[in-house]
Order: sequence, then C-alpha cells, then structure tokens
Amino acid sequence: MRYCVVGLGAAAAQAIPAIRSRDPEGEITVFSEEPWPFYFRASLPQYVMGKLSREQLWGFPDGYLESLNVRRVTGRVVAVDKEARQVVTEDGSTVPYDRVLLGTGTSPIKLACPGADLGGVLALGRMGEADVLKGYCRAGGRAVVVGGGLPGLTLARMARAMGMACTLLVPEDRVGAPWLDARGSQVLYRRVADDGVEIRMGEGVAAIEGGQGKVAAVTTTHGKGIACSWVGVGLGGMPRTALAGVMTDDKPLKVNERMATDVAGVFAAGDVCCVWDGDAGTHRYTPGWQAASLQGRVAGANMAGGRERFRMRHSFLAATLYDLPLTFIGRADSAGDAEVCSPPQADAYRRLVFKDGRLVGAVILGDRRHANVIRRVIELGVNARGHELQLLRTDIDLNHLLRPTGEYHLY
Amino acid sequence: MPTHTNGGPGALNSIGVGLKRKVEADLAACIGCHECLQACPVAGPELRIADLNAATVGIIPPSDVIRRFVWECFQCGRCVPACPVGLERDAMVLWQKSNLYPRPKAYADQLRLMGGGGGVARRAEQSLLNLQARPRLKGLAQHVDKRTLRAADTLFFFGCNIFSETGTAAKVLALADYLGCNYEVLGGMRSCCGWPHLLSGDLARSEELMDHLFGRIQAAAPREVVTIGAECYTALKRLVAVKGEAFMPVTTASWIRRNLHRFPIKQVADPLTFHDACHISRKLDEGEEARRILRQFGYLIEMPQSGGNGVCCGYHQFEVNPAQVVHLRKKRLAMARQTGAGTMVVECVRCLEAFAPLADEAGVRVVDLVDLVHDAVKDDSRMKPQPVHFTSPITQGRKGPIPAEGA
Repeated sequence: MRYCVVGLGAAAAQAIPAIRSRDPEGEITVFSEEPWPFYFRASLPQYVMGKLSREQLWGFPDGYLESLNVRRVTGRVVAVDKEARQVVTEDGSTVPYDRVLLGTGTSPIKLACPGADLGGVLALGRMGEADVLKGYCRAGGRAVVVGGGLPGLTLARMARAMGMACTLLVPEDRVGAPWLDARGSQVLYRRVADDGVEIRMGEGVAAIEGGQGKVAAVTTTHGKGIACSWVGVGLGGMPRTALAGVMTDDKPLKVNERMATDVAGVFAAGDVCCVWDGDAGTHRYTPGWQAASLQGRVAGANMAGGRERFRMRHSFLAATLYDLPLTFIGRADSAGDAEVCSPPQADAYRRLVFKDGRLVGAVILGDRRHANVIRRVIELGVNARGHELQLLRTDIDLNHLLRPTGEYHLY
Repeated sequence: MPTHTNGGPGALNSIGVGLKRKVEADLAACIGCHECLQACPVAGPELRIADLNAATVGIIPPSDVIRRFVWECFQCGRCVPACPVGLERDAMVLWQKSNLYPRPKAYADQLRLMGGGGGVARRAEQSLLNLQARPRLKGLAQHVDKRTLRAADTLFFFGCNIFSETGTAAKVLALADYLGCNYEVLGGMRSCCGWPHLLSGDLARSEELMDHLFGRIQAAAPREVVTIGAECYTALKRLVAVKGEAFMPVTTASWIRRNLHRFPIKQVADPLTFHDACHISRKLDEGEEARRILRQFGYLIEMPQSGGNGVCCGYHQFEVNPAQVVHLRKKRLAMARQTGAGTMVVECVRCLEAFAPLADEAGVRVVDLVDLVHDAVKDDSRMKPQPVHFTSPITQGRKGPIPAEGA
C-alpha cells in the first residue's frame, strides 16, 4: 500500500505512526513545504520571544520519522489527481498513492489593503514567519497589530514582551471574539490595556505606507496615522485549500467520522476539514491542535485498514494570554435555554450555557480549577439540573457530578 | 499506548482506565511549550518534551534520562498550573510510572509493608513491626490495626502515619481528649489509604487499598474523618466523590479551626511562615484553612513561593534520589528563613518528617499546626499527658534523629 501525507502538522504527526503501526511494509511519503522536522506550531510565540530554542520545538524525538521508514519530500503540493491517484508537486513531479491524507492546516488571513505586500507585514503561522518576526521584534520600535482575537492578542503580547510599543487595532466590537462574550471580553481587555497596549476598538487598517519596500506607517480606517516598524496580522486562519482536484474553495473540506472525504482514497484531518457529527446531523468544524492530533490518529488508522471514528463532540480550546488562562469548552456561543455567569473580576470570569438541563458550553477565564470536571460533565452529557450555580464555584469539589462514571479529577 | 499497570499486565482498574483516557487526550493537546518542565523541581535541561511525550505513548523506549525523571517525579503537581493549555503533566508521568519496569528498589522498600492483604509472611512481618513499636507507641498502640471499630462521630484516620516519629497523631488525640470528643481511631499499616501507592504508579494496589479503607471507615459510621496527612486526605476526598458522601473528610487544619474557640490560643512572639502541602493547597486549593489559624497565633509572613505555587517537600519520591530531595528541602528552609520568620509551620505529617531533620542546620524551627495548638493547651489542667516519642518502623533506616516534642 502506498500512502501520501500532505502537510507535516499535528494531524500528520499522529497519522504517520498510526499508519505504520498497522502497516509495517507500506510506503509512506510525507510532503512538507518547510524544511524543518515536525514542530510545535502553537509554541512559535515562545520561540520568537527567545524562551524556546528551535530544537525545543521539534515534536518528534530525533530520527523518529526515519525510524518509521518514511520518505520525506520538501516542496509544495499543488494538486491531487484523483483519477490517476497521484500527488502533484510544484516542480511537476508526481507520487502515486493508494491513500492520501490532506493535513494542510490553515494559512493566516491576509490584509487586502494597499501596502499589504510590503516587507514587515507579518503573520505568525510557520517557522519561517517566526524567524522573520524575530528580526523585527526589537526594543524601542512600535508594532501595529490588527485583530482582537487570540492570534492578534498573541502578536501584541509578543511585541510588548520584546520591549516594543504596540497599538492593537480591533475591527471587531470586542477583544476575544468570537469566543468571549462582552463581559468576558472586558476582563481580557483590561489585561491587554494594563500590559501597555494601546487598543483602538472598531478600527482596522485602511492602508500601509512604506519606503524601500518596508513598512513605515499604518493609516487606520478612522484616518489615524501610526508610525511603526512592522504590522502584525492576527486575523486568524483559513483552510489551506489550494489543492487542485480535491479542494476548490476556501471552505473546510467535508469528511465523515472516519476522516474520509467522498473522493475514494482521500482522507483529511486537522484545521483543513470539518467532520460529520451524526448526532447533530451536520458537519462541525473543530479547530485546534488537540482535535487535529486526534483526527490525524483516526485518519491514519483508517487509511491502513482500521475502522476508527473521530467522536469529539465538543470543542476544547485553551490558551494563556497575559497570564490569564482561557478555556473554552463545547458550544458557549450557541443558544442554550439557560446560562449562568459569574461577575467579571480582574482575573476571573465564568460563563456556562445549558440546554435541557445539561451543560453544553463553558467559558472559563482565570482559575482553571475544576475545568476538567466541567469538561467531562459536558462530554458525558451529565444532567446538571440544580447544580447550575455550583458549577460556577471554584471552592467546592464538583467531582460528585461524575459519580455515576466513577471518574475523579484532582484539578 | 501500553495498557497494563504495575498490578501486572491485564485489564486496567478504574483509576487506570480514567488515567489512560485522560493521558491520551492530554498528549494530543500538548503544544510543546516546555512550561511544565520549567516549573518542575526535578526536571533537568536535558529533558525535551518531544522525547517525554513519545516515551509516554510508548512509541520510543524511555531513555535513561526519562527513566530517571519519571522515578524522581514526586507528583507535586507544580507542572499543572504552569501549563498554558490546562494539561496535567503529572498525570502523564503517573501513567509512565504505572507502565515502567523495573520499578526502583526504593519504591518497593518504602511501600512494602503499607496496606493490608498479602501473604502470611508479609502479615507476620507487619505484626512483628507492630509488636516492636508497641512500647514506644504507648497509648496509641491499642489503635494499631485493630479489628473492630466502634461507632463514633469523629474518626481519626492515621493509617501508616500513626507510626510517625513526629508524634502528631498522639498530639491530635490529646487535643480531642481535651475537647472531650467522641472519637474512634483507625491506624496502622493495614489501613493504609493507598495514595502513596497511587503516587508510585501502582494503580491497582492503590484502588484495592482505598476500597478496603472505605469498608473499614463505614464500620465506624463517622460523620467526619480527620487525617494528619495530606495524601490520606486526598484519598478520602476521592473515596467520597466516587463512592458517595458517607462521611466528611477533614484535615487537621479544618478540625482545629472549627474548634479554635475552645482552645486557649497563645500568641507566639516570632513571626510564622507556612509551607503548603501540595495535595491540600495546590491540588485541592484548601490552604487557606491553616492560614486562618496561623493568623490567630501571630504574624504570618508568606514565602515567595506559597499557596498554589508552593514547593514540594519531595516525600513521595520515596528516596530514589535522596541528595536531590535534601537539596530541595534545604532550599525551601532557606526560603523560610529569608522571610525572617523563626518558625515554618506545616499541615501535613509527611512535610514535617521531611523538613524536621534539616531544621536545626537551617536555623528554622519546623512544626506542625497541631504542635502549635498542642503547645498552647499542654499546660492546661484539663490536658492529659500523652506519649509522643517513638520510632517509626517505616522510617527506621532513615538517618538523622527527629527530635520529638518532650523528648
């Protein structure tokens, strides 16, 4: 059996061992546009800030992929020829496959204003971009970052940590959108402002001016001119779908629970795809490193003849920004029939959404105590009627809610 | 991923099943930031997350560095709050402990006699130790591994800690007598809570001991069960969460605080500082109880690393690397001394056992919260004299005498 894996991110990293464990003899070819080994993309900010070395980012032990007898091709894949069953690379060479996994992830959304192609207009998605950012992050200058979501806030934090002044343009109506509601957003806003970031709400980038091909200033949509040495684009990502033959638009690729597309032999996993949720009767997009890893594991197993299913019904996203732990579980954005919130404090906020007496979503800012219990309450569909306010508290043990399952969580 | 525990290859027990599920999910979410290792008191710079993760799932054999790290980890949980994405590295290392062979001899030595069951030879050895300890235990000896418990409102559960050289168990009972409590006592090797086994990675044995303990406690039908060890308390918390709230687990700090108005508290002249027990302050967030009491005794100065950010005494490394834990303990005592407080108070008997032998050298007095209260009431006419000086069979081989109250 011949396997091709396009991309070398979280999904591919789990898929490859899963394939090899089921098929010791099959030919596995991995395509990556970058020359690096598999690395922890989500930790690139720490790399830029000098907290981690490049080697500490490697996601596999040295020589691990080689030990699995995997052929590595560095270069961009431009098409998957589903008729001839071959992967086509940028230089025109082809590699035949019996099963192919598309794990291309997302690419940062670009600005569409004049000057967006100047040097110093930067996003943080890959190692190469991180290396460029390192060069731009120098104490004393000013960065302008656009985007009030997690990617934008991360860039702003990075700029401040590197000793730069920073202006954050937030085109949305609040920071932390879409994950945070207005009250939770206030908590985060205060943190960002306290860090010394100048926040300009409701403003975007109208134009970027430069000299000698490099950024010199930004004009905001309100006409304000801001001199800066680089512009951070933190508008999030969109599925990397420029693959002729199987992906035709910017929407995530649809796959079933076995991570297979409706094209024979073609699988997808990670941020590039959305997975069929049989219970909800719809495809659901579950972005994030953990979902990508778990999907990759399922895809790899099924490519090699397994019958596994991806059944992560509830998204889970966690990060720490400005020393404030952020945890988003399930569907806190959805319209439940009841919700409870704690009063927003400087370092804490909780919002829980219920439907039919069951917890379906949680936003936890600050102390993560009992977040794991809350996550399991959501995942297992535990009836939480009568415990709604109790779930907001961090000072009491919530494990009793999981008693029927026999589970116990210390944290 | 390996699917057996140190109970031997085969089906996982319920702790193992939950742990496996959690570890699999957490490993998939690890973003490789190394924050957990940077917060860890025993991880060295040579340890890389990629290698650790790969060894945890079993796709590469653990290197010597990883083996050493796994066995040296004392499950203090400092790695957990450090994780930016909310993962529990300590659970991942616990999973490794449960699957890694051979186990260090130090683990086996420390745990050998803890817990009931086992063959005739083992039981005979426990009986012999009980017999040898009897003259030193004095009044406490009647409670060691006794077969029947009478019904009582309060059960003092000491488990293996009844043998502690610190004398904390005897002092707690002295305070209970002072208050005129209706209590029963459960102690001895055969009523071990099983949490040390859990921390060592022996999940099957741990669950077996916890089940056994639950049955024994039910015999006394207590309203509350008071413990002097942080790990015992955690085990009791798990029992009531999983099996039902048949009783209320209580730390000595909570028990004292509830009765504080009945003790003639004397202000101490020197400022105090407090060393948090990892299982109480970080894992269960209940460190405030002890602090409330200490503020009644005098001026409390916090160490820079305290509360949820406290530093572990390293007791549950089971002396795999004694030099390492002694170094960490000395650092902690130095931190206590730097606060200017002459006394470092602890609320777990294991912490006391860990720090007390080094206290003189460090120039800091180390006492349990129970000691403070006991000192306050010992001269009161209602106080009965209590035996508090003996040697523990568990720690017989340990170097350095631990001076006990009244020795």
